[in-house]
Formats: sequence, C-alpha cells, structure tokens
Amino acid sequence: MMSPSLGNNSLTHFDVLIIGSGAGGSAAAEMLTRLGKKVLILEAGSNYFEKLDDPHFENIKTKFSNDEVKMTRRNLIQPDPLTEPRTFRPNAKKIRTFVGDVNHLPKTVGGGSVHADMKTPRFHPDDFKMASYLGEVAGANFADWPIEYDQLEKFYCHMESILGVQGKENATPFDPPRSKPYPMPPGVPMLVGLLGAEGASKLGYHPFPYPTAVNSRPYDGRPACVDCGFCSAYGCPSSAKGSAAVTALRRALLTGRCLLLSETRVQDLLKKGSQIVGVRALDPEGKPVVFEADQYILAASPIEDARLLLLSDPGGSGIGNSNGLVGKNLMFHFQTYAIGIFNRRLHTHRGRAVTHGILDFRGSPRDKTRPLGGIVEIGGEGNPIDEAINYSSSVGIKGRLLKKFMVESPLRDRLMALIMQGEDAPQLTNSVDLDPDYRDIDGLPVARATYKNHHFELSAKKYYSPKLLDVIGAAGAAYGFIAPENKPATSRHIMGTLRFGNDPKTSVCDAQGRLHELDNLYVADGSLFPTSSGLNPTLTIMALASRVAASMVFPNAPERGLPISS
Amino acid sequence: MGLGAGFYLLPYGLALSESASANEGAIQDESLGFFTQEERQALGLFCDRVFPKATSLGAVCYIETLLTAFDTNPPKIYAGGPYSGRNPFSKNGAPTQEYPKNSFVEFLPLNRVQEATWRLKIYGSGSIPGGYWNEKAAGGVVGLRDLIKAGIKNATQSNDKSPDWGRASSAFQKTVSALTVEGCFSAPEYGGNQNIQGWNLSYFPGDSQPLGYSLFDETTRSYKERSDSPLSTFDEHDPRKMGFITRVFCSLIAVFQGGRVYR
Repeated sequence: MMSPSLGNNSLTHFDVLIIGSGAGGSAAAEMLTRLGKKVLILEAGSNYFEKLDDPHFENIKTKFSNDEVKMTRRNLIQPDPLTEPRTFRPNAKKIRTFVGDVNHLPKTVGGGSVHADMKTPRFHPDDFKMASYLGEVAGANFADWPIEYDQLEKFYCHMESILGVQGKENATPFDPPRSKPYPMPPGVPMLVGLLGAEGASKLGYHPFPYPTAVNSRPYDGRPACVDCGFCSAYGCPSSAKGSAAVTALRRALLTGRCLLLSETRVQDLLKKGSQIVGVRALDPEGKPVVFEADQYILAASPIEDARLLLLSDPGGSGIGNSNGLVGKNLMFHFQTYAIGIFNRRLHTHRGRAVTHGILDFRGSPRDKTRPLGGIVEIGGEGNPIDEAINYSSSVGIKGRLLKKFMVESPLRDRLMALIMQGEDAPQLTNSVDLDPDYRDIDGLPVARATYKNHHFELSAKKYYSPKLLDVIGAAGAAYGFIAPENKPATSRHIMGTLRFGNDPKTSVCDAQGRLHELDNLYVADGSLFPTSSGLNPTLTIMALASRVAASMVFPNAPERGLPISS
Repeated sequence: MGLGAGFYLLPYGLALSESASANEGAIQDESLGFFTQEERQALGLFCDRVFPKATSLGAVCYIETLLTAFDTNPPKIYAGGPYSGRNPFSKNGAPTQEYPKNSFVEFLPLNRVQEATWRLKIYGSGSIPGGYWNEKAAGGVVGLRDLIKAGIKNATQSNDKSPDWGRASSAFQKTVSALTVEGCFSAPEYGGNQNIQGWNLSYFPGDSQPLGYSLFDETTRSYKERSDSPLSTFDEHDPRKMGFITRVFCSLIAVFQGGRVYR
C-alpha cells in the first residue's frame, strides 16, 4: 500500500485544516500554502499517486490504468453502495425509495477530478445573476450569487493555468469574456466530435472545441495526452489529464507547508461557541484520532459537506443550521442523452471522451422565448463490458444474438451521444438529510437525498430534445433517440446544500465562503453554488475555492492572493 | 474477417511480436480450488448460454479468480497499473520497440473499507464480526461464493444430464450473467478474456497506453495520428458491418424510445 501520508510529515501546527482533497480542497490548499499558511488535508480515500510530493514529475507513479473492471465494475475509487450507501426519495412523504449509489463521487486523493474527463468551461456572467433575470419562478428558489463573474475572472485564469486547459478563444458567440488566452490550443479532434460539429454547423449552430484540462502538448512537467480512450471514469496513467491531484494539490505539497493524510475518515466537527475546535476522524486502521487547526474548510462535496454538519450536532439541528438551510437547494445537472447510431464505426474508444461541444442550447436568461438548457457534449459511449451489460441486462439479450451485437457493436463502436447538461432549478424541497436507518461502515447515518425535478428543467428537456435529434440526424446517424432517464439521476455534477449569500436568513455561508454562524469554518466546493448554470462545474468549483482561500488571508481583497502572473 | 480487418490489425500484430504476449501474466484457465470439476463444467454451461464459448474465453476462470481473490495477498480484486506491457512507448511521434513491464499483474492492496466491502461481497454477512450493520434495514448479505455454489447445486440436483437453470435463483442468474460478460471482456490479468479473444472478436483493441492513438512529436511540437487507428477520420474498412437483424434492433430501439430512423 502506498504511504497514507504525503507532504511534510514534520509539521505540528496547522493554520488550516481542509476536509477533502478533491477539486475544491486542492485549489484551496494551493492558494493557502502559496500564501504561507500551513495546511493539513484529510482525505477519506486512498492515494494512487506514488511520490506525488516528489519535485521531479517523472518520479510520480500512478496505479491508474486502462482497466474497465477496476474502474467501472469494481469501483476502485468510488464508494461502494454496500458499505457506504446513500438513500433517495422523491418527496418527504416517503422514508426512502432507493438505497445504493446516489450520485456518489470518488473518494481518493484528487477526488472527483481523478475520474472526471476534466471538461472545464467557465460559467457565463449571466449565471451569477439568475434571480435578477428570471424573477420569481414558482416552486423554485433562484438567487443571485454574492459575487459577480468579474470577481472570479482572474481566479478562472489562475486555475486554467494550474490545470493546463486546452481551448480556443472566441470559438462561439456565447463565450464569456476572458483576460488571458487558454494555456494550450485544442488537441487532436475525435471523429465523433467532428461529425457532431459538422451536423450542428449545417443547422446553423456554433460548435466549438471543448475546453478541457488535458495536455495537448507537454505542460508543467506533464506529458502530452495520447488519447488512449480511457478518460471519463478513469484515472490517467500518464497524468496528461490535469486532475486536481497532479496540479493544484501537488503544488501545495511541494511548498513544504502541506501534509495530506489519506484513508482518514472524518466523523464529525467539534464546536465550542462560534468556533470549530477540532475534527474527529478514524485513521487508516480505524482508530479514533483528533486533529486541530486554527481554521477549517469543508471540501468533501455538497452531499458529504451537509452530512458532516448534520452529524456534528447530535440531537440538534446541525452546525450552522439555525435557519434550517443546511442541506437545502441540492442541485444536479439534468442530463439529456440524445443517442445516434451510425452505419459506420466511429471508434470512440480512441480519444479523450469529448473534443467538441455546442452552447446554442444553453439559452440566455435575457431571452424569454426559449428555456434555459445547457452545454451539449459530443461524445461516444463506453467500453465492451459496459456495452455487453447494456444488451444483456438492460434489454435481456443473451447467447448468439449477444455475440452478434458485440461483433457488430451498434451501441459502442457506432454510437454518438449528445449530452445536454441542463440547468437544474434550485428548490428548497430538494435536500440532504440523514437517513434514519442506514449506516455506513463506521456506524454513522448515511446521507438521504430528497429530490424531484422542477418544470424548469423538464420543459428545457422537452424543448431541446427534438433539436438534439436534428443534430444527430444532420451528423449522419442512421437511428436516433433520447435515452430514458435514470432514476435516481446519475449525474456527478452536484451543487448546492450550503448556499452562499449576503443574507444570513437565506444562505448558509457568506460571500467569502464562511459559515454565517461560525468564525472559523469555511466551505470551498460546489456546495456554495446558489444556482447550477448549465455548464460543467469543475473549473468554477476550483476558481471559487481558490477565491475562498484567498479571502481567508485577504478578506477585503482576495485578488491579492493571486500570483503576479495571473 | 475480411481483408479490411487484416489490414486494420496488421501493424498491431507486428508490434505485439516484440511485446509481452497477449496472455502473459494472465491467470491460466485451470482449477483454483473453489469449484469441483463438476461445478466448473455446470457453471461453464450457464456461462456459454449467456455468451457463446464464454468458457473458452475464460469466464469461469474469471469468476473463480474473484471468488478466491482473498487466497492471495494482495487479493486479486484490483489489477495494478499503469501499463500492461501490451503496447509500446512512443518517441518523436512514432512507436518504439520499448515496452513497459506488465504492472497489471501486481494487484493492489486494499484499504480498510475496500477490504470489508469485498469480504462482504464474496463471503457475505458472516465475514464481518457481528454481521452486516444494515441487516435490520436491508437484510443480510449473501456472499457470491454461497450464491453461486447454491445456484449450481439447485440447477444440477435432478438426475438430468443438463442443468435446469430455472431452479437457480434470479439473483444467481443476474449476477452470473454480469460476471460472464465481465469475464469475456476483462483485462486478461483477471483470468478472463484469455489471449484477448474477447477483445478481438468485438474489434476492441483493449488497453492502449502508453502508445495511445495520438503521438506527440517533440521535434515538430505537433501530433501524428496512427495510420492503422486514426483518431479523426473513419477507418478505411469496417471489419463487420451491421447486418439485417442488428438494423432491425436499432430501428426498434429508436421507435420504442420515440426517436427517429433517418436513413
């Protein structure tokens, strides 16, 4: 087993303790350590990057590989629903209707950024003012962000530089303004992306090379991507993919001011008055241990952040929850899958999952004539076990017909998938609480998600589905359909639960990411999002986490935390 | 397999001649001590019903390897990484003759949670002191070893020559069906997909690192695509086109899902 600790083992006092080493936690650690703070990171999952704290990149050895069984069937880094279940219900009248994988994100050093294919578009300036544009939406709970795009723009640039983002400036009329070019040009396009883009162009839309944190050339000591085909849901064997682990986190570790303890599972926070005074956890052997620091950051993902606050006040309403909003406004992107089957093979097993996208279906809150959808990813689907399970388990095909389909491969080698990441309306009734009966391996109540779609996103799906099928047809497909929805939703884009805002009555955290009710507890991940936009959230999570961390040092001028080059 | 497939596979075959053989490091298809010979034969019949010749692809070996995973340390649950040794490195935009070692065969140690998870899955509630903690809410966990042994026993308890799989539980049928296809298309280090026959029959090349499909040339600072496996263009030939039945299947999916048949 690789060492459960990374970084400087000799540190004894910590300015900041961060729970979670994913996109948000790593971005916060990078900012804080660069500004001279001593940081302890507690990560529940294992480390699969040997010598991540070595200054020579070539010495880093990862255990990730092109292995479908390891990553998607046996879930090396995903929490297993047997030992770490979550529960789900569509409304509060039921106790639960499902037990299992409810939007689980990986637990590992680097968190969800390790399995993500790291698509990194920015949010649009309008996304920060949705309540102002939309007004009252019945049943929904839209709010403006307490910061505007301009206040995040330099942090976007900073994170794009750290991650190594490939992209093309002004590729669409919908691009948000940017003060710096992308660090790298787009890499080699995938056939499926080119076909989808051609189809979209024929219909007057504006396809573009998808901004992605994957090296299109050697960058920051990491090699160029070889387009191995195992990107989404896989850790990168060469670290050409800019996960938070090999970028922001590694930078933090190399300062000498950071210690990361993996396989260390936080159980609850210890509170005294308006201060957090410690964190109780279990070490890799399961023995209890307490950690202390001056300040604390929650970055364990929206569902686990809310769960931890609720677990930390047994018999009470949860830490920071006087207004009852901890866990509320849970959001996922509402994903619409338009599937095309082509007569010719598209070999989507070659490439980095997605190379092109379409923004025309995102819409604008200023335009009341059509609903707000989301960015559309043009990709393919899966590897052979996934394909065989689709035929055999989903459709019930076995024997010679199964073999025939595996040979001719209509649902893998000839498949194009257009995935629209539809904006999900925030609702007070969509929430996280603690299941009354189910426990995790440590004996703690698991998270229960209560979630039902709003007309807002359902109407967008209805409006844009025929248009997605138009694109599929124009791209040259022989057959097209909208895939049935998964219930519960399987999106790994999770947002909300600890909304930030200026009013303590309507939000959990303030504009700097600090809990209104506590002096030294901050949140630095997607939990803060008041609204979900319709774009992949990772870059915004990291930019916002970086800004939260900078605010801890420069409360009135977080931009001062940015390096001069930003 | 026509001329097209031969052309498609030729450069790969040449490369492999210098590399580890396709099956190097694979678990050999022989008894691992869990099933009796009769049980193996019966299970093989079930696997072959799920996928023709699944047994010769290694499905039974794959299943038995999983069920005996804890007989070795580390357990054979997660193969190592990053490379299998089946593909070479590249340099200056071209494949080299240098192959990495096969690190898939070096299975990964499990952490505390993974260990408990996989003992529960394979051995059931009895593997945990005090039993499965969610038993009151969810019921006990029947381990894969017991589930599969019982399914085989139930199906073969009559004197008929052929097992009656209708007597096996639906949990057995669902679980073993999934394990069968995993065994047909897994990396061979798990005991299945012997000699990468499963990947070959589905025209899937398997793991591709460290070579991949786009080769960056440090000297020109640009990419080169592999002529045998291009990234951005169609392959010259389709080794097996969709037949009539497959087209009907596609039409049915499109129609039942309210979609479209374009051409």
